[in-house]
Amino acid sequence: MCFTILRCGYIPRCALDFSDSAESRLSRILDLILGCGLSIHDISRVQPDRDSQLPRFNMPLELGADLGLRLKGPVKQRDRRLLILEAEKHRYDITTSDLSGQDIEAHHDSESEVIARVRDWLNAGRDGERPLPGAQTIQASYSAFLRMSPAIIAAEGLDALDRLPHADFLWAVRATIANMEKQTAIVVTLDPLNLPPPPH
Amino acid sequence: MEQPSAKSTAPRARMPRSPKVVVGGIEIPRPAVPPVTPLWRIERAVKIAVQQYADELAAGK
Repeated sequence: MCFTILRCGYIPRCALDFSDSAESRLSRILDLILGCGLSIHDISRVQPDRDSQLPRFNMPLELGADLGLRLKGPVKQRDRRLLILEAEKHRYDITTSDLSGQDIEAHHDSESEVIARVRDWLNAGRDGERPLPGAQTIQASYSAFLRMSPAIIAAEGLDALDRLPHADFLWAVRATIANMEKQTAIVVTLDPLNLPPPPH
Repeated sequence: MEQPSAKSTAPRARMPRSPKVVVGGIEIPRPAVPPVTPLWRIERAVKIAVQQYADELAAGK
């Protein structure tokens, strides 16, 4: 999701941006929400914790706070755009039925569908601006990034991408996107009709 | 009393940080949260990997 947001030219902000506990996590998340006009909430990960067998409700809680701002918050927050993602189209009818009437998109736990849903939603809010690259192009860029990631890590002895600090990961993605756009040999492969092979 | 030299007491003028950073020849906004790893190390790693990948593609690999 972060890759798609960056590839579309937006800057993702999330709770992973901060690690100190000096201020309450929820308070900082609210600050982030207030500072952004667009929010994406993926509530598909409300699953039982492996040890306690209890579900984690952080994401629905944050979505609730965001919806509260949009529906009843200060006037300038009422233009907020929210994308709510779920794994299955109507699962929220069972788990969070009060969400009925909101725009909820399903990604079926598929990487390509996450890319398409996020890209299409961002593109839909660009009144008259240049359209964003298509989902297939973004998917091709992402596949190329994944193929390059072992070399990125090896070149400077960085941690693996899933262990890299979030800010470092975001910067690696941005730097990769910027550098890829300069390489004709790569740009050609990002043509949706000429997709590169999937990563190993 | 020793007179401190102007050189030692004058506050060091700091250059304002540019809101943008040049990456791969393209200006992009400075990250909202600075990476732990220095930007130049990440960018150098990316530059090497992207060039390697482009060379592989050009060689038809």
